[in-house]
Amino acid sequence: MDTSIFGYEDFVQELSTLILTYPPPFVYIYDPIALRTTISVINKIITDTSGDDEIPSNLDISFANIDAATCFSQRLLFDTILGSLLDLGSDEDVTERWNDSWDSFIHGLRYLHSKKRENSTRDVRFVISIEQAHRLKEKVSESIIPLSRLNELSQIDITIIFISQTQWQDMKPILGASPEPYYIDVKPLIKSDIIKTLSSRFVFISQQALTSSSKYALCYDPSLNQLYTHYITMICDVCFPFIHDIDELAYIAAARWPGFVKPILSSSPPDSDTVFPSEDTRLRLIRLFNPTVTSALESLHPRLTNAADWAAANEPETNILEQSFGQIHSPVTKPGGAGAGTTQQPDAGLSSLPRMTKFILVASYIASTNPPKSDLRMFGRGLDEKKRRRRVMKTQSKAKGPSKVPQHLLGPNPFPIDRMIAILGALLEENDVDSRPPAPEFTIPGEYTDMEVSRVAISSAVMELASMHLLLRTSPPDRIDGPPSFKSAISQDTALALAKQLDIPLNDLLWETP
Amino acid sequence: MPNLDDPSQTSFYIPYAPESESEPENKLQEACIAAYKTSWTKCLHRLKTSIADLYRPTVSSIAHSIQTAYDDALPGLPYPELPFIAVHNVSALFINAVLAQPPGGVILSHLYPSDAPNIATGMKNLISGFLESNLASAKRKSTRHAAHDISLLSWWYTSLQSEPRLLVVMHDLEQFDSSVMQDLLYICSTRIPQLPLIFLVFLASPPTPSFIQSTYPRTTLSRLRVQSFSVQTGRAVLDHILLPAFFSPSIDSDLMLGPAALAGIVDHYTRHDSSLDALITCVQLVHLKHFLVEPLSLLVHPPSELTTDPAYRPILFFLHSRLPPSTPNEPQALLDILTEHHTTFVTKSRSLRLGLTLLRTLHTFLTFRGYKPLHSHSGHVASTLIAALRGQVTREVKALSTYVRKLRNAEVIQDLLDDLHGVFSSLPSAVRELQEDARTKIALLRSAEPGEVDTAEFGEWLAAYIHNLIQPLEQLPLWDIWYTGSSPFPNELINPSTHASLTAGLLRPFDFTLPIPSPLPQSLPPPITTDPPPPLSPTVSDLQAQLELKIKINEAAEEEDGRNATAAAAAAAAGLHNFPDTSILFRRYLDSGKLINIYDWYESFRAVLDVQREERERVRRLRAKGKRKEKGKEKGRRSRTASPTKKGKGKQKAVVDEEIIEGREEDGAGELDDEAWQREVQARFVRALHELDYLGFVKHTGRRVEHVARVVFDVRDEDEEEGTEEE
Repeated sequence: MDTSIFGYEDFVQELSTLILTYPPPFVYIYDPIALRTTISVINKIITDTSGDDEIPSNLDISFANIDAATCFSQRLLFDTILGSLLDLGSDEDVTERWNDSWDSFIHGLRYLHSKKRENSTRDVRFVISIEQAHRLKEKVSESIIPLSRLNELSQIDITIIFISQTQWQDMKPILGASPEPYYIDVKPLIKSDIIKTLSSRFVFISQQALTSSSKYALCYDPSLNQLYTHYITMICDVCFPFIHDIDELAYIAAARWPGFVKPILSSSPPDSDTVFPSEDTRLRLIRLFNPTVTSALESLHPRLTNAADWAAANEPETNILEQSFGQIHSPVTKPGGAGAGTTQQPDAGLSSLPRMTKFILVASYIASTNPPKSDLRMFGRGLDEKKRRRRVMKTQSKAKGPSKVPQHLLGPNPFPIDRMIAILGALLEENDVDSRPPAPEFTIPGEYTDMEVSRVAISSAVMELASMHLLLRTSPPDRIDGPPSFKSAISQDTALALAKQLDIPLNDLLWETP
Repeated sequence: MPNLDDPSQTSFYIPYAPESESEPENKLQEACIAAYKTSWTKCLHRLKTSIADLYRPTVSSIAHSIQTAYDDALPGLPYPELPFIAVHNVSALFINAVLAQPPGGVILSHLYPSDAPNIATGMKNLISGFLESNLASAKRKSTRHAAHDISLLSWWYTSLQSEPRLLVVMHDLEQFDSSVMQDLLYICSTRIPQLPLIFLVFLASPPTPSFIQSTYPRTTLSRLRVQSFSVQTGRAVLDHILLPAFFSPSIDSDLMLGPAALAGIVDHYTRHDSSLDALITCVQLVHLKHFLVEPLSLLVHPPSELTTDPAYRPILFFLHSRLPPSTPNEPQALLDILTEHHTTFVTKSRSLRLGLTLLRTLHTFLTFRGYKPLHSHSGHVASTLIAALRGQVTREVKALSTYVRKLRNAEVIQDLLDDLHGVFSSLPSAVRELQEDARTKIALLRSAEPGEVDTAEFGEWLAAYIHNLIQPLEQLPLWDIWYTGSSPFPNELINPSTHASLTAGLLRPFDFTLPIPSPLPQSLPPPITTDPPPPLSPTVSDLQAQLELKIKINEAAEEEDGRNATAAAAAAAAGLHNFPDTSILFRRYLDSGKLINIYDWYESFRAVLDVQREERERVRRLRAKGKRKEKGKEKGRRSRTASPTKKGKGKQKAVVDEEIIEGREEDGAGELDDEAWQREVQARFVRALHELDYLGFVKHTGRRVEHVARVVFDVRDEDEEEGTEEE
């Protein structure tokens, strides 16, 4: 975004002063909320300071901004730093590589530095900022110490800035091997600053939209600028208690805006220049759309769907403003559920799985939830052919100690596949007999089920479910001694839904009823 | 021949070699296989066409998303998102369909789970996938960028003349390491939109619960623009495929599926494996089985020299035996009759299929209007088809026609007539001519004034007409050539029960070595002239009786052939000691308790092997003696060698024992022999034990030394029980 961000004035002041005067060799910027925004601010500061000739300084600042997540090897780290420092300079025909060790890297830095000094009349200062610095610890942990001491190692005018969402004490090398950095903690933006920033972006978006071929290009008509400010205020009113990241708020605002202005755009004649709505219309619009922002927040913040699809799926009716207050329905067509707006058929979920796979999933859920010692009581049958289901209702003694957490809250337990197959057999015997094709060759009661549960298709279905991550394999796949063990990976709601499709009374088969 | 004693090899390949070079080529079998291949190719082509029709909308919308991935961005987004097109429920067929026609202006790079064990390798493979696709511009300065550096891709892209989209195709997303994928997606997302990367990922899991949502954190998801597609699966697909591929009146099918085969296919699809690949395999199995077990099936595509080549004589005889006895015995005349019957069959089966289509149209029409003419379960296409093939749709036809009779709204009736007329006009001309009357009737009703159509009469007529069309095909002569009838679906072939097969194999090992009787007539049946003169006008029951007699004769002849083998097997099965070692050990395993003492097990195993050894010794001795006696005296030869088994128990046994003792004394090296034998038994025991262990019958417990736990507790057949008691 090519607009300034309000609320960062102090930060900008502090950092630019440091860079232009006497920077500490090692700066650590900590921002747990809006890292992306902070980084763009820093980039802006440095491009301003290095490119601005107005500033009376005798400094020539070369800047390298790298992302630690993309530099997953030492060579990439060196290549990226040197590459971006080099690009700024005029010298293109450098053939030497400085990427095989720290020594050569520092040589490279010194070489570049001296080269630039030769070409420039001013002092040369290198500034290297590393985004997501905490990733260095995972990928190239041995480079944290030399990076933090780069100034003293290279003996040139160089500043290194770490920018991270975690604090320095969480990634600091042991034994104090790195010097203490100069800390800057970024303050979270306050609501009014966010509203100001987002509103000020309208002009930019408007220019961008009008040049693009998007079908929403008209939504950002310049005359709507003032309405946009009110709109952003509404978005922030609803979402600010939950989200403080300015990018996320902008994301939700972008998704809702086309629907928000649609009634106005469609009611005004196409050739009119100004479509600025009246005060009354604006209030009605905001009252109408306020509830839909919540549903946008619910489905967009966890990215259950993407903004473009959400905007397309939640377009209001064009005549929504004409409807009287009594009849107004919320313009949300689908209340922010999973998969809203995506191109799915209704039957594409778990319900389209084959019947036996559903049985296996339910059996795995039972095996993961019930304790093994309860199986006989749950599924065992007496001689009288009647189910003896002696379920013990847990009576929790309130007085003694902390109460036991129910199993379905603790997560699934692993089980050997044999146990699951046995439960599957019991389920099939109870619930699947009616749907079977006639098989006169099986005469002994239970023989059909016995054959059925040992078929190849069952084993392959288990493996397929494991590959879909609907069952989790807990034993190593290369162990052939003993049965493999699995864990159920479906939720209780899914299990209940599946059981309902199969007519299994799942609630009666669970040891602890939720 | 490989050197079987080579210890460095773990397995050997011994190619099949016919016992003798002069083994006659079986022309009948070849003709059968050729007929199968032709029919199956035709059927596969039809299936593939209807699958392509099914997939087309999804494939084209995926292609559209790829095309517009960077054009359709919502204005005002804070940062560009990486287009991420997730396709759920995919099968190999679908992936082929998508990748068969990649949209223009796109360069592909494929990533498989094994390509990305870590981030460096993953990035390297992703980048090299693009670079290799365009070798001309891949001349890179090798030292400038590392192979896993995304800058290399940027550099390469800027050197291209055109500006293609870069499509990363990821197969089996579930199998990728999620932390590697997070980094990979992050790195790719930092370079857009300068590098127009698009991700197309294939997942086997269903869209809900979403694998992507549950596996990847919000930080990764917020960089992506996930668009979900899902490939059609489930019951509806089956209906969608089966109807046009097998039961459309316009198709020209060689082999019609019978109700039993269809029911088997549907059951396997809905119960076990609802992928279209599995469906195709099932249909292929039905074809294979038909051409394997139906002797006349090669006449689906009669070989050109059928009438001239004497090798085909048996099949002609067999064909003749199926026809009324008055049929001339000339090959050419037989072929003509066959063609005639085929034409009849084709006409009748087309009528049947037309009837089914009309029924279906009627049902769809009524359900679309909000009626519920049939029970929910019989509303499925597949179940209606099965019932119709069995001739059990009278009730459905009646129910549907009742609804038609009660239609009052003139517009609705007009729509119905339009639909029905559409069915008729889509027929191929040959069929249309046959159904000209019905077509004219519907056309007349269509052109009649609205409100003048007598729905009661029309409903009656429609019911009678459909009922007439749907007639069981089993009544036609020689139907079993072109129709699988009630021959069941070979479920055991595609979905065997491992446990049952293993135990059966171990308990009755010899049953598996019996030769499969070929359905093809191997030898000429007795000449037809020897038959008793047929009655002048044979009734149906007479014909059937004759047919049965002939089949019996054939079977008897076949049994005669197979008897030797069966007899050998029966003899082998008489005693446990004739079984393979693993089987012997398994029998003893079944006799034991929950925990098995290895030493006791070994002892019982050795007891059986001792019997085996004695038996062998005796046979050897008897043979040697026989030879000796052959030289000496000719007389007593027969009585001695006649039967080494049970006949003449008492005396014979005594004699045999005597002989063994004699033999041992003669050998004189008994002790040395015994030691070697001991070692052999131990080795065979350990080998058999390991085999059982490998099959999973043995569980090692740390509870007691020298004991293993038994894991299989099966009730054996009673006779089996007795058999072992006798041992």
